[in-house]
Amino acid sequence: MKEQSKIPTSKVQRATKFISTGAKVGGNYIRHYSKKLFDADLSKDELDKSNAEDIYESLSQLKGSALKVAQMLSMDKNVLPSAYQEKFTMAQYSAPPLSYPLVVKTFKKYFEKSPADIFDTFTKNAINAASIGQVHQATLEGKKLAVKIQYPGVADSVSADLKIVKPMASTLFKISPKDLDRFVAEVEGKLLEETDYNLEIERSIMLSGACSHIPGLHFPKYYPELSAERVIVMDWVEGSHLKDFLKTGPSQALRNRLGQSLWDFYDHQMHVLKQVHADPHPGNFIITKEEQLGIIDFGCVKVIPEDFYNDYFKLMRRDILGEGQDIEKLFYDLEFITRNDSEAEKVLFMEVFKEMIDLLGKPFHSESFDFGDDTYFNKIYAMGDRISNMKEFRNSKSARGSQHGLYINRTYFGLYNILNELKAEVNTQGHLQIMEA
Amino acid sequence: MENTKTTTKKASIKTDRTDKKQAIVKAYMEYVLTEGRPPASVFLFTKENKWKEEVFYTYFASFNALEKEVWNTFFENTVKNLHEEELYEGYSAREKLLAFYYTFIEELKKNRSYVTYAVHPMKKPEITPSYMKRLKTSFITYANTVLNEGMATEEVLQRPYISKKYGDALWMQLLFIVDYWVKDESAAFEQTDVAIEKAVNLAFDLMGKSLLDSAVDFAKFLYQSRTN
Repeated sequence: MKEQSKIPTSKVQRATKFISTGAKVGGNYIRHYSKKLFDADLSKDELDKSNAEDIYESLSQLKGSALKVAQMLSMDKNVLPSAYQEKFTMAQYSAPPLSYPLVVKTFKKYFEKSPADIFDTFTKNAINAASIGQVHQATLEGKKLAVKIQYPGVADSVSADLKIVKPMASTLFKISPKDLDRFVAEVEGKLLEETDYNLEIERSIMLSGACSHIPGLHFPKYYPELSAERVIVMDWVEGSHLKDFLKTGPSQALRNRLGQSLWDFYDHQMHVLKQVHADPHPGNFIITKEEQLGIIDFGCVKVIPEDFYNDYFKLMRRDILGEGQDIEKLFYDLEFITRNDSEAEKVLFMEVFKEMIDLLGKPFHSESFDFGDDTYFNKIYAMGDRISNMKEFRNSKSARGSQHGLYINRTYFGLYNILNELKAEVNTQGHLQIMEA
Repeated sequence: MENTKTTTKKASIKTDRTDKKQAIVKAYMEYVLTEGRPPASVFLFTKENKWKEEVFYTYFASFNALEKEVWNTFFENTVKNLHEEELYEGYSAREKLLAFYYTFIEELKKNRSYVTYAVHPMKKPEITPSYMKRLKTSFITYANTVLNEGMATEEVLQRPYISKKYGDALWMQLLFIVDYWVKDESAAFEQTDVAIEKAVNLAFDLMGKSLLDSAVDFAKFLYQSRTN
């Protein structure tokens, strides 16, 4: 990997980066419509593709929070045209590495020793890039370790980055500025948490301990005594990422088993621990040689408030849209509809949200659910496209949905997508069933 | 046996000397930091510290010479620490220079108040202040060694006229970094780390084979093929 020659830092530099993206996207539209004058059949897909490329190019030159926002948007598949997907999923993997002397400096700052003094071996170059740091491989007393080191200055740049992403995101991704403010405040809080590696290691140990009884999961051991504010040391998890694993042509039984472990992992966190690993993108999972599911990154954890939990999971109940349920009150509590809505708006939004709940809650409504069913996912995308194009939604002055839902929805979207890629059929009635009884 | 004795004795005399020297430097730093200006004279300075005046002159010719020594000591400690790092010898030129800057800033950090006091009035950073003159000589010698290694591996490109100025350019860069660090208000001076990383990468991208070389090469080709 080439070490990067420039990271735009100052707000001005970053802003120009975004302005140039904005200008390019505008240019693409002009090009598209002038082409269209001659060729009426030109599909919008082609246009989406060149836009996604420009945005991806811009975002991939940034680190930390901007890259994270790109990731989040790429997870929210249903608001993005399919052409954006491939590109943004790529943003989840690599960012250019930092120099070895800076790694040494970071170690000296926290441990007063260089990596060569602490470990038996230590790779000079980064093996992997995380979104706000990079991973080196080390060995100590015969054990293979992963050493994650954070880029300097990430915490400082989070707020500045998000301020700049805001106007661009609101136009490009059709999110109203008001929605976006709540969205950004929630994301900002989570991103700042992610820069605190002491917190991450604490949560990693807690959550992996609390989930260790779930069959088929593999958690690396963490080493708090070798970790610090900007450094995390844990066991190296040997295995392959989802994409590579799928290329080996695993059996349906194996795919179901992995899918079930993944589902149980999330089910336990949501309903028992009430705090959840809210970053289910494929890069955070590794399938080991023993055919277990390794979970390697607890940077992003959402603690679910009790009130929100009760309202939110009511939505997943089979009978929620049936007779005699006070769906209107629930919608008010979850801020899907507000007191400022006109009667017509109220009726419209209730219809839309009912449809969404019915569709997204589907996996919960039967004993087991086949996530390999692409027609189901196409229905979700079609609904997303339709909603994001609805004038009423775009012009709505109210922000809809509680901000706590952001990371929970994102978690479920991520989970659904991974299960879809796995083509797994999963028993979905874990703790929810107990709740209903 | 006798041999060991004499060496310990010699060593202890030497320690005495360095101790004394360091005591003078320490007293001087304390003075400038408390008073915000150098002492009026060596006479007054030594009197206040109850030393004989000649003790001062044994080690330093003047306050200016003392300050030069202080800055050069920062350099010497940096190089010493660098060579203690096992992997340092195996570094590329770019990494060596990065490591130098990081270690140098660590060295300055131990005396941040003094450095801030000394650098603060530096209005034109492109002019080397007199107290940095010895540091400059030492640094440029060091930088040239690193650059020569870089040239051997073609990490740094030899260019007519320009490559002789590389050392001076890196000196400017060091002044910039010191100035940046003095003004840095970020926690743990993290922004300085970022600045160093970017500055060195830019420098090596410019000194290595770059767009410019291809452009010059192409222009030369066109010119020569036309004239032939």
